[in-house]
Amino acid sequence: MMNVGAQGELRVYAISALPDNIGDTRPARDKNGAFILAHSEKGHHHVIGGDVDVIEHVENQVIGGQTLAMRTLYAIVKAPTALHQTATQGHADLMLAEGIYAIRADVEFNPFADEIREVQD
Amino acid sequence: MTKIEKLTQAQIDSMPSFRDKWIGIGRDTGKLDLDVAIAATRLAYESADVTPPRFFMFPKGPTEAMKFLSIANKIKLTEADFVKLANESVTALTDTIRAALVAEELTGPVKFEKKWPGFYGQHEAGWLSFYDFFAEHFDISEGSKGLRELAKNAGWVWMFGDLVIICEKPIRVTVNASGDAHNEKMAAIEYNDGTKVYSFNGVSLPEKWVLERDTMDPSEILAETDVDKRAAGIALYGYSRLKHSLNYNIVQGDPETDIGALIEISIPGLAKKGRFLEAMCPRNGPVFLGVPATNPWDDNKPITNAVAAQAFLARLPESAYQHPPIRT
Repeated sequence: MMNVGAQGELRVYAISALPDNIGDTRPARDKNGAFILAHSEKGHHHVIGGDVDVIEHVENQVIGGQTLAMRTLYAIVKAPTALHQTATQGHADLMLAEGIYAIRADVEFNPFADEIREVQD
Repeated sequence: MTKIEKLTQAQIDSMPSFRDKWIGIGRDTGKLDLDVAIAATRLAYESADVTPPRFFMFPKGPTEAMKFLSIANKIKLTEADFVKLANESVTALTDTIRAALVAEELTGPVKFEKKWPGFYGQHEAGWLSFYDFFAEHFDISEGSKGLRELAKNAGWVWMFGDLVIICEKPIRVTVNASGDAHNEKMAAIEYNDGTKVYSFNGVSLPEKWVLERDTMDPSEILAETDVDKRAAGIALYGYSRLKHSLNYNIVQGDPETDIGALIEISIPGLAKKGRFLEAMCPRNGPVFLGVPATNPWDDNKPITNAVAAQAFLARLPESAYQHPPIRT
């Protein structure tokens, strides 16, 4: 697993093959048909379109008594494309070459609620 | 009509004028011309082969529009009432509903459900500018004329079968140099009904952050769950001021870098110091992301430096952490 870049809270790793038993759940798509990798309440989604397939795998992890639904998105990029954020002043595109990628959102610790959660924007 | 294969240089050169024209429409705070707005609405309905509406209401802004819907359901006007009021004057229905609203508000706040409009009027400028360009240069897109005219002449619009609610435009729209809604002292967007949008460089913020900036507890900003809002709030509050107010201390690292620094701050109401990874984001500037004392993905090893904090954010042990070669 090699880190190839990050866009906002999303970190992208190149992997040699899809892991076993990740299921076949696809994330939602936006109005242009691009997969939404990270949803934003403001509509500033992180998306990936083009000749690509994406599988969403959620693993429940128990961390310090807290059950966390940790998402990993596996993108099978068949032709070069970009990870894009749908905002007028969004994060710049992150270009991805043909290959297989694991994409994971950062987590953070909220000292006010004493809990870990995925970073939101 | 043949397919358009290419634009002339003159047509390409005219694009900035369409852009500027529609940005102007989107930010316009002019008075609502009721007759023009009604005619445009009727044209839009006719263009869609739908019977034009007979009844119109003109609230002062989106909040009053939603209250109008609530009150209209409550006072149960009959169709005959609607017809009578429409025949009386163009604003008689609005005046009646507003009077009922005022009376109701004397007894307490009017509850309403947020129902988003079918048409954002002037705020549909982005895509309507595209149709305007082709209407102007190629005499096509006649079907969009009603909506284009309505966008020029109205705020948000709720379209029903026989009734249309057309809001007045905002009374203030302020933007930054990039054109994003922005105001550090008051609402960046305000309607005459009291609807206000507080915004800093295009990021919506709570009213308190703007109006009580001089006296508020900055830890409220750090408690915000949305990182964009948090970053905008920090910029608004003042980065140096925030650090000074919260007894900021760098544990390890450089906050002006991509990897950043592990920092500690005192947060009112919390027994322990808050620990954050502070780093420079290419988009948001300084960002603060909370980290715990230990990394659960690293056998609960203490987090003592910026790389260990980054590893926690990435859900990895410190030994497996690779910093992204590109960060956007």
